[in-house]
Amino acid sequence: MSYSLTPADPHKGEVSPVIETERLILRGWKQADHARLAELHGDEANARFIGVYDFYQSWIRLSAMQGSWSLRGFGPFAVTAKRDGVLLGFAGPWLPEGMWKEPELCYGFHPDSQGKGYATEAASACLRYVYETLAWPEAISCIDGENKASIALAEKLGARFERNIKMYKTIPAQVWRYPYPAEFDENWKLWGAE
Amino acid sequence: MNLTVDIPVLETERLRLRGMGEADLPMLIEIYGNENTARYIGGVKPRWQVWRQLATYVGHWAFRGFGFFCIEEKASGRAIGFCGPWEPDGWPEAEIGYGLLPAFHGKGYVTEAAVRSLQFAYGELGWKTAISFIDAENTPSEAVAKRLGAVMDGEGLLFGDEPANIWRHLPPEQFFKLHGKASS
Repeated sequence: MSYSLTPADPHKGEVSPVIETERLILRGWKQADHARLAELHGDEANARFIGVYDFYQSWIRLSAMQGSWSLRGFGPFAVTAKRDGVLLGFAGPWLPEGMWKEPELCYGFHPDSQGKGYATEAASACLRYVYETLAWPEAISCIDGENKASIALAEKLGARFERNIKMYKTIPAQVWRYPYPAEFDENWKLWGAE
Repeated sequence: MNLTVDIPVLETERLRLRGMGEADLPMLIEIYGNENTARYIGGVKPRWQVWRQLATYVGHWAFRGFGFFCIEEKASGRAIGFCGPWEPDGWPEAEIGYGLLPAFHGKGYVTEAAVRSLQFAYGELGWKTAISFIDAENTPSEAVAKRLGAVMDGEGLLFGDEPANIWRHLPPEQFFKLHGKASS
């Protein structure tokens, strides 16, 4: 998989790196991303597993994702198409204080940007990023048991079902554990994979 | 794109208004965890939601170039609340918002911080008008608005469906006449 990372330049005030994959550019957030993010979260069928938000709430989410980069030095990326710059969705590390003890990868995509393998391409880049750059020892995703698409994605990345939990102490979810860093070879392919 | 913002530090006689960081989380958890202080600013939130709120405050600065400051008591160096200009997408109108730890109520701190925030909004940001949304039952906050010279100016809906009174602050020139341009 093609992957190249340009670190953030703090002298220019940048807080997030830019990752380029075959078809995608993963970057920090801009105000202009809100229109597409609001569509992503405003579509009830699309967002039922990741949060159905109105215009105000999706902006709060947008600014929280960017705020995470400022506060923690990591956060979900804006996933955009290399071809035309259109926002496709979000993907990346997310570790709100007091929520989960384990580092999580989260992702969500616009209704018109699904079924094209973008989520897989973005999520595998993010997995490499959290291991290679952030040096996370492990990574999981918390997924609603009915969210078949997300479970299929996690499986494609080699994740294994681990256990059932209650998110926010109330919402049932499944913990899917990604392969550990040592399970990847020097090209960030899983050992033994084709 | 994704720039950090140089958040200014504003001073008043007893307070310092500065940018927020992770170290201010306990202060926000205390404000948002207490029914008395949280009920008028969106309701009680669990710890993880308060962290997200903090991240939102920081992100607001990145996108708007302004946002909530952390209110620090100069004498103790303690973070005691937040105050500042606030205007997310989908918010009915740009406002001056605030919240303070219960232990520091009754000292005029909110008024002091809000005056400085309005001087900042009218002066540095060039706002022509400013309001504060205040719940009809939030008498202490109403008293702050009145001290600032604000008047009731109708009603707005927050969070989609929660009515709040609109208190409109004095326009820039009158405000500066009453409270000065800046205290530092």
